[in-house]
Amino acid sequence: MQPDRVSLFFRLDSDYPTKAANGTPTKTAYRVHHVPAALVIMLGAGVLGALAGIGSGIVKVFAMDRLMRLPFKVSTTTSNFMIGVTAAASAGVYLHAGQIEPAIAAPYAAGALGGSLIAPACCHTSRRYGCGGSSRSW
Amino acid sequence: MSDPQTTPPSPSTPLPPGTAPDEHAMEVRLSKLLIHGRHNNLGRGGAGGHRGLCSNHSTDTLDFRKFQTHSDELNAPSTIFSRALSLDAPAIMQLGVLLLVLTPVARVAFTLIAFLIRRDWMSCAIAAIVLAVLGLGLSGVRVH
Repeated sequence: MQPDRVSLFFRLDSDYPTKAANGTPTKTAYRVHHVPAALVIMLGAGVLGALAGIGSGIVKVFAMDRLMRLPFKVSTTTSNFMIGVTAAASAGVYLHAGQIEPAIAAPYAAGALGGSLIAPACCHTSRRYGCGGSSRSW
Repeated sequence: MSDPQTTPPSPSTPLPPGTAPDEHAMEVRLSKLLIHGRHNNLGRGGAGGHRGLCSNHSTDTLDFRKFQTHSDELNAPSTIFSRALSLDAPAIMQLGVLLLVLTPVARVAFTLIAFLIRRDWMSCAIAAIVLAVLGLGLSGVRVH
């Protein structure tokens, strides 16, 4: 496939850490495609996230995985990072409009953060016992 | 075995080939920033909630059938900080939410500094644009 001119201009082609068959850490290169179309989808994902109060991660991961042909590991971690930035951009607007109710937001945030601590432990446990597709995808 | 999600990569972790030591150190610092921010916000929200439950208003029933914005209270960072210092429970919870919002902003700022150190000017420009958009939203400036 021909390299994307926009990805070449922004030097988006890169590599991500993986493990070789013998377990040693290594890096696997990847190439980025269809950047302009993906930018349009990301714009829509940002608008959707700000309006509906969601992270639009499913839209972003779909765009990165299917359109930009990024490895799944790269697209999910990029989406995780971008969700925080996207939410922060709109949260400031809602904060100044007085539309963030601490009685709702604080327990919600505490629960979500607590869940973010539990989920990796479950993933680690499933990886240790070799069960579940997610243990092999990484 | 340590949890890779809650434990930042150790500086002694073997580096993949081609990874510069300073790049790895920067990634370690970034991951620690996010993890500490998460723990800090979790504790702050919990402290505010605990204080609210222990207050005289702990048995109050909240009515959100008609949502009313609080125009002057807890919508400006300065107000949030000053009322949190006086141990106002809603202000402490709002402070936790505010710091939660500021964690990815700090991450972008830290990334901008990392790109400046590496002299990667294109990435600097992109990070600066993202930081400017975030600052615009948090400053309360309305774009009509």
